[in-house]
Amino acid sequence: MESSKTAVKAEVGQGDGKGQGVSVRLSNVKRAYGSVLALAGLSLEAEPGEFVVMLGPSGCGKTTALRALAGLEPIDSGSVYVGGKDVTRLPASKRSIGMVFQSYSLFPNMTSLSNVEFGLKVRGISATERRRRAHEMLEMVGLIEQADRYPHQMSGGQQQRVALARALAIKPEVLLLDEPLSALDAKVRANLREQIKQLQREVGITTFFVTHDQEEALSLADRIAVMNNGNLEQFGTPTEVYSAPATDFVASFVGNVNVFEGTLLDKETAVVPGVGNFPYRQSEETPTPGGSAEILVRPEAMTIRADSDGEYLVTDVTFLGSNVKIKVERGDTSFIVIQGSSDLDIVSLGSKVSLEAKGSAILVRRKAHL
Amino acid sequence: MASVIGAPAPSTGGGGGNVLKVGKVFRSVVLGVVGLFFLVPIVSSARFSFTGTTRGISFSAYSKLLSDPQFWSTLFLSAKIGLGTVLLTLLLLIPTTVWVHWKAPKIRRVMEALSLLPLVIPSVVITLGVITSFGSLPNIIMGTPVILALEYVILALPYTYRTLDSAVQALDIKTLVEAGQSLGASLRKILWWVLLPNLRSGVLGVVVLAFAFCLGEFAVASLLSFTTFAVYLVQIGQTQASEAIAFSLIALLFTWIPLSVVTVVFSRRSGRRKKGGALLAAAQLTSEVVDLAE
Repeated sequence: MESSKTAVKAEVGQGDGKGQGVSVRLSNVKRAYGSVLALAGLSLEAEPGEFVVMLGPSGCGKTTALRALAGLEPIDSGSVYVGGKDVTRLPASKRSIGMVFQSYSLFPNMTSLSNVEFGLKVRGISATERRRRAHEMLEMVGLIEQADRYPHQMSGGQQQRVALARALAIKPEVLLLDEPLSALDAKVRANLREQIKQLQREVGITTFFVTHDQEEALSLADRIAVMNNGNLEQFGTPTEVYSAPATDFVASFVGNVNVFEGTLLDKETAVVPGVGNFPYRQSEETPTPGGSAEILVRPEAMTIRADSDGEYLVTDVTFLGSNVKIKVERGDTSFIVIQGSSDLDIVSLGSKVSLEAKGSAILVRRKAHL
Repeated sequence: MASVIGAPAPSTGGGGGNVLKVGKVFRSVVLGVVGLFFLVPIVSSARFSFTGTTRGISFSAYSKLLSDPQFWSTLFLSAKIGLGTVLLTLLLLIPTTVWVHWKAPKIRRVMEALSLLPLVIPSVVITLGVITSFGSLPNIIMGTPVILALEYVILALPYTYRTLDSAVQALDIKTLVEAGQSLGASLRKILWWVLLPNLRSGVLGVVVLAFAFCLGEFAVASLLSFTTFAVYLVQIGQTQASEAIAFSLIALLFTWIPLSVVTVVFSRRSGRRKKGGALLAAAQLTSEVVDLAE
């Protein structure tokens, strides 16, 4: 059975492993709904076999971009290339792009098996061959036992796995997933997320995954495309997006961030009075050294210590398992620090503490930016 | 807490029980009255059709009717018109309703209002309008039952459109169509393989409603001088009471048999959500049959 599984994986995505998929390029794609600009000239390119996550708040244009790529959304201008071929004018049914939708999209009148067979039936593949292939796809997503079940007889997670098998059965060049986990409960969501990632790695198909969940994006992506107001704010690896956000929006949207007022010692070091020195990298928004600046620091780039003379007051402590999230205040400003759970005993609500730098600043910008 | 467990039930509980009992009795009374309202005329009609003005039981009204060639020719004519109406209605409504839900959900209210117009405009006005406006149409339409079928498509809209609209609304049309497209299917294949099977209950409801409407419609057919099943029923009723009642009961069978078949099919194949179409069809058909019997 393992050999058939490998064979299926080799067929899907036109290859047998990562790097064998096709490249995808969106070039200056624009789409407006009346006066609202959903895509303001979006350009990005995914490498063959890459797992790209499109991340952003509701209404940022990520789903529109995905639908434009699928051919389900007309675009006002720009071009879409799949495997180097211009598919801008091709209808969705001719694009060889598999898609899993946010809402359950299995055909209610068909069993799991028939759903997976559907795309093959459309292509005129013989009944024997499509049945064999559908069985293999269901086996790949671990639902061979559910082959004869109708969608209403399956859980949400199972339905989405069948939808994934259905999308992959047609051997698409690109796989698109439009918030496929959003309707599922936390545990199923986490399991299915892992399964999708593993499948994508094994199959090697170029994949676009839309989500507004930053944790999902950070854990799944080879690269994350952070979008806002129809624009691409940053396109980089999870580490780059988290540790070196290109814009204010990315810094504040992905993860928690603390904003301190401080000064720039030189082109590499920022100083926050009472906290310490933070190494930083230059960006377009960085003011000249010597002047004052706003220094953006992740919660885990600081450590906290009990200090009866400290300037910060502990106002909230949230136990997160291996970590503790501590909220402190100085005047009207709040800050968040993430500590290991072993440090839980050094803080208590209402106690005074001081903060100490232990990592880098993610962004340094001119004052009064926000 | 222990004292609460052992405490007597609050007095409001007894009051609630009484309210429930009263509600149950009220429901039974309402159901009984409604049942009698429908059953008494049917049973009385059946009795009269077998006895007439004599005391003994006789099947003469039925045998006379069934051996009347005009009975069969009018039934055949109405069935032909009904079939044409059903086909035209399905051809017009299925793509329209799907399109509205898929591409233009904002105009659903407008469509609903339009579909209700035949209820607001009297049939006589519509018929006169048709005669005046389309009098110049070729005889193949104007002088034949085709014009009746065309008119019935419009007149039955309040029932047919809403039935189909409810069925389409129960589906996530946009997602299903787009899923089909992403799998490489053309719109025709998506309609045939995905949408129609899922709209079965609504489509069957439309078939039954449109057909029943055609079988029972009198005013327009009479104004356009067609002797349809309903028109012939009225003609017979003017001179032969027993035959007219027997006629009504046969018409009742002609409409109730397909309705029963559809209802059985619905309840076997569809979930509770889809039964709405069947129930609506049943309610409408009952009204049609009562009209016909009158």
